[in-house]
Amino acid sequence: MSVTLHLPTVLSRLADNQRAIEFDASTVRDVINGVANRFPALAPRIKDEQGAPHPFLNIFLNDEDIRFSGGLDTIVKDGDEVTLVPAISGG
Amino acid sequence: MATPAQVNSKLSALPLRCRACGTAAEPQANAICGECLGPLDPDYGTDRAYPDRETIAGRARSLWRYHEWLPFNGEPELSLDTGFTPCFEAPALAQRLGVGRVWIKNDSVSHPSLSFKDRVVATAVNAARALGLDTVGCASTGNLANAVAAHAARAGLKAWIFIPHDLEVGKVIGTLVYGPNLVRVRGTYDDVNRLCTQLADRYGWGIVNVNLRGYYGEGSKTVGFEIAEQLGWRLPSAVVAPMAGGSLVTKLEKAFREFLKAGIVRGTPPRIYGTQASGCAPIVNLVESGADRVTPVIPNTIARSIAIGNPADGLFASQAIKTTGGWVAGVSDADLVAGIRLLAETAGVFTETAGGVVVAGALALAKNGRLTEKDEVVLCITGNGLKTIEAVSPDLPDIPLIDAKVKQVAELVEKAGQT
Repeated sequence: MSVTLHLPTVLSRLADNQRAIEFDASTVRDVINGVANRFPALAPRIKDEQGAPHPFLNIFLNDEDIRFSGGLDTIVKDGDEVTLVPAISGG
Repeated sequence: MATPAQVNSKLSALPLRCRACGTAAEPQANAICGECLGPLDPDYGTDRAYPDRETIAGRARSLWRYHEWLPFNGEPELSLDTGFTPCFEAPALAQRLGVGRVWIKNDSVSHPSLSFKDRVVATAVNAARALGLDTVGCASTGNLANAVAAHAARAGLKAWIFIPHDLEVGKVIGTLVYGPNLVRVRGTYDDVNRLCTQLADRYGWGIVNVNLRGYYGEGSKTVGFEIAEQLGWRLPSAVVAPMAGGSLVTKLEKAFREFLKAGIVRGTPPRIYGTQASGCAPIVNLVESGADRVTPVIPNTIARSIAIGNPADGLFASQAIKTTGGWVAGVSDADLVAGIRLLAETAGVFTETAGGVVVAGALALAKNGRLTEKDEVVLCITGNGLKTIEAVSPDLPDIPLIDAKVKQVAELVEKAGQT
């Protein structure tokens, strides 16, 4: 499935300043692992040592927080959009 | 990040430093560490000079009397008259709670928009001015919308304000009247907040609780500074505050720590207690479970002003509470309405839903022995009841309707047992 990953500025600078990147993926985890493998400097900023999402990062699939669906195992479909948003915000 | 349009030469914002990893950053409209995505806080350095009690006491009665602990060098020029709200003892409420003494820190009469959010916006608009931004904004559950709209109008700043679609009428009108760009968003506060985080990245506006958050949050400390001064330059044994994103309890802990470090007060830091409505209690759940991450919730409570299901400072709030020996309380909607009425009937203060959560939470904490007759407790009442009359009006008694006749009043007096 072709999925688009959107990165915030704070992360895109470590991905050749790309704000949107296409991935072939079956789950959100595939997308996260895909961008981490393509841009190794991003890896510690999007995943912790156990492979869980970084605690200061929220992940949205089509604007829905993946913690309310299947987490990283949430299934993606063609045309979906995954967005990474810094968690320290609001209140 | 925005390009500075007009930098105020009299005021500069402090540089920033990551609370999590310690990485330093220049003053900027950005609150996220580029190294670890942690929160950027103002860096006050090690050689900053702090005033003594007498110097503070001789200054104007506003939150700027503590300006050395706020994130600027130079003279702030906006929102100079916010802060220094009343803090008064409430013996009848202490008796009802069964604790030694109780004070009300009454930000329900904060100037100009009747909530403690005036404090954080006062620092945020000055940060916007110092950084040369001409547009501010926020994601808000209501009180912050009111405050940003009011402070921006006075400062001549453009404002973009985003709120959940179903906010109370008082909070919508109390924003719209100031003439901002007000936008209702289908969804919860957490949807609005996610949107605003993306907008700050895209437009470079000064979204006060997103990319100006490092400067914004420091305004909350002034609640703690004022409590210490208004109690006679001493600390209470416990403070009870509402929690939405969790920032306020972290800043209360920081304020008391900073005053102790500067020698302004002596003794033991107060135990800090955080309260939430049970229908949106992710930080209560975090503390009670001992987990190391917030589990977000979808809010289901009438306490909309604190209905944040995915609190940014949840983990830091949990740490502040546990460090001070405090705890948490979750209360039902019925109990928070009872809390609003109890505060009104015993202390003469009409608070909104968040204040009801604080009073009901204090009752629960006293009932389970966490607050006792030995305690001196300050309740942080953060907003005004006139903004959320929908919450309490169904619970109030019917009002007698009579003809203008003494006889009919006499019947009411007799019925009330006051003959």
